[in-house]
Amino acid sequence: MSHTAVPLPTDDALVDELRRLAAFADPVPAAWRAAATACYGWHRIEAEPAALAYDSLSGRDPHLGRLHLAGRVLRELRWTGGGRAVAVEVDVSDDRLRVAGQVSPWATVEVLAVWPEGLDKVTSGEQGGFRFDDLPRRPLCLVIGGDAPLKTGWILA
Amino acid sequence: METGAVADLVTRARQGDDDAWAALVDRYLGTVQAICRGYRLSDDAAADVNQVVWLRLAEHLSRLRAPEGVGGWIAATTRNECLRRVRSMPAPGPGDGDPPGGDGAAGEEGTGFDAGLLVYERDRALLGAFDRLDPRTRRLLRLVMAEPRPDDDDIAAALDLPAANIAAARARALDQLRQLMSPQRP
Repeated sequence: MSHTAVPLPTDDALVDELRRLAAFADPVPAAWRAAATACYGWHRIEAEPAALAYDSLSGRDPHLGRLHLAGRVLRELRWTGGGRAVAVEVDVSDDRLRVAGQVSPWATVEVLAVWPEGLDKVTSGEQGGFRFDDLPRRPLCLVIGGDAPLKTGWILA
Repeated sequence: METGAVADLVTRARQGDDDAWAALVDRYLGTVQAICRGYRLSDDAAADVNQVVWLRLAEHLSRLRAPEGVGGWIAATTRNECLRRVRSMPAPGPGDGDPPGGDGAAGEEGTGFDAGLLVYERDRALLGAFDRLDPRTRRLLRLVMAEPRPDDDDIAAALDLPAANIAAARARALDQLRQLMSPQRP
């Protein structure tokens, strides 16, 4: 039977039809729910959120904060909180990230790099320096250990 | 869902309640998807937007000034992320059809619907008519048909329109859809 023989529906009936069609032909992917659920992990990290004090990408000219070196992008960020600061340089290259940072005041502390599916950890040197040489190119936050741990916001590179 | 109930979910999620976060996801995941589909992002880009929105919400949960407005926050954040991706895409070449987020004529790709699943002619006709709507109207109807249905305030935040205009815009959009389904239309 052709659709032309069917009377046109009212507003509510039409919305119901559309909703039924969407639920059947375009359901929310299961992976989306899993991803959304995993994102709550940041909230559960037991550390004080640090405030973003500087982001080289937040200037008016989007190119001011970037250095393009043979296809790589460098981004500089700095957070503060609880009398401490952490500054990092993020080197984005294809599907990997390198992060070099500095904790101040200088301290030897555990530093975690956390992404939705995993984490890596290093210990900062006596002068507060740390680096991660091979991280996946995923949303990333850092957790700076010590007596009063700090966590950064998400770095989306 | 009443605004008090939504605010309660935010309050509980701030306190570390997994179930409250899961309920927020249940309530607004369809809205996020509807907005992404409205901008015709690729599956990968849309999935990326979804993740960024929820990451940002987890980060900003404690700083939301109006917990009852979390739906509007999610809708506006999703729209901004979609626009950011649309702007970063290369301009389409001739014959590339409707670009993601564009205002041109609708193309076959990017509606998000798997038309191959549709058995009934009427459903295919409805999808065909939906696809011929202008992009702004499609975006509105995508939200109207989302499950659970977003509040008018959330739809307004997603479309950057006054909430008072949503009911009339919805009626006009459905009228357009009906006209496109009409057999008199060429």
